[in-house]
Amino acid sequence: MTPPQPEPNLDDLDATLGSIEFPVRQETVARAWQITADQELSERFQARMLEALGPRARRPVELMILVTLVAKRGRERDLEKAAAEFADATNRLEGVISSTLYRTAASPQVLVLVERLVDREVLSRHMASDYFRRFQVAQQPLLERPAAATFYTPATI
Amino acid sequence: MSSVSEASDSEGQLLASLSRGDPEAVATLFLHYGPRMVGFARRYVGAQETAEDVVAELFERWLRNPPGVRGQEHLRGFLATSVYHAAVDFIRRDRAAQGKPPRSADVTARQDRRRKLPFVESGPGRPPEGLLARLLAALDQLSGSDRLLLETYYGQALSPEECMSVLRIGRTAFHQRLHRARMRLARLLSPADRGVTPGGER
Repeated sequence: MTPPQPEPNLDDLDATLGSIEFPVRQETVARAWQITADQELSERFQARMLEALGPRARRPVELMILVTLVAKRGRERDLEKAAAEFADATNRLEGVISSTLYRTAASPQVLVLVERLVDREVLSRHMASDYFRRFQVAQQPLLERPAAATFYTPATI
Repeated sequence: MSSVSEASDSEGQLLASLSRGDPEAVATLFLHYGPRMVGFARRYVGAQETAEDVVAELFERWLRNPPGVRGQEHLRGFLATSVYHAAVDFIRRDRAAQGKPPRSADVTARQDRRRKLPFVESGPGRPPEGLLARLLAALDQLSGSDRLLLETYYGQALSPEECMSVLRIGRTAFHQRLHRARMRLARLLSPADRGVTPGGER
């Protein structure tokens, strides 16, 4: 008759295994990766990566700009034509996701321009462009009041 | 289906570019996976700042010495393994910087100082392989769920809650099954019971 096996001492097992790097399978590491949440990066870390990688490490933050243009009575068509040309030119700039002009039948004087840009660097080039300057000049005699622009960035929860 | 295949092609190209030392590839990885890599490193090193250091050092090393990606088919698997090893390496270096011996050296030191641990025996008739080799051989004989429980408990690969979720068990079952998995592993490592067939819960 075989004598009963002695119970292993788990404290000893823990002490032994606590003293080495426990081998973890690649599939477990991959599983852990899948259920890991993204971590918000600190400015310190981003600055370090910027230094190591240069401008290519700059995280783009998309911009959406809502521009409300209110035409003087009788100048609605002129403003719409100038704004449509401006939107066309904007759409040709690299880094512009879209630039679209909207109007509503309820308020024929009001035009809304929705611009989506890849990041602020695109905004700088947009505002420094010839077509931007031309539109600034062209719109002045057509507007009832100064254009109102509101800037949006993606909401993060 | 084409989008899945395109994504996998693009990940393969990114891995290939990384192995050629293309800084654009490193930047793309940072922009797309940096937040996940830091979150992943945090599992093992705890503090956010330390996790960021681990990931930053990894990126900086890839810029100096492009990593080998032979045999790596999946970008995420490559990143997970890379960050995991970088975190473990960081912990090892941190121990050394604090004057603590490496973990494997601890075993020998403790043996000498206190008493002989039954799982690190040596001497005539004992196989020459080290504890790690014996551990790997023992783990190979356990079921996948036993290994996952042990990887959670000893390797902190998952949190207990994540392990419970993967195994679809509650807390009580988790502790019971973990206890049984530890017992099975202890028997396998125990010199007296080398021949025992462990089985294990699947």
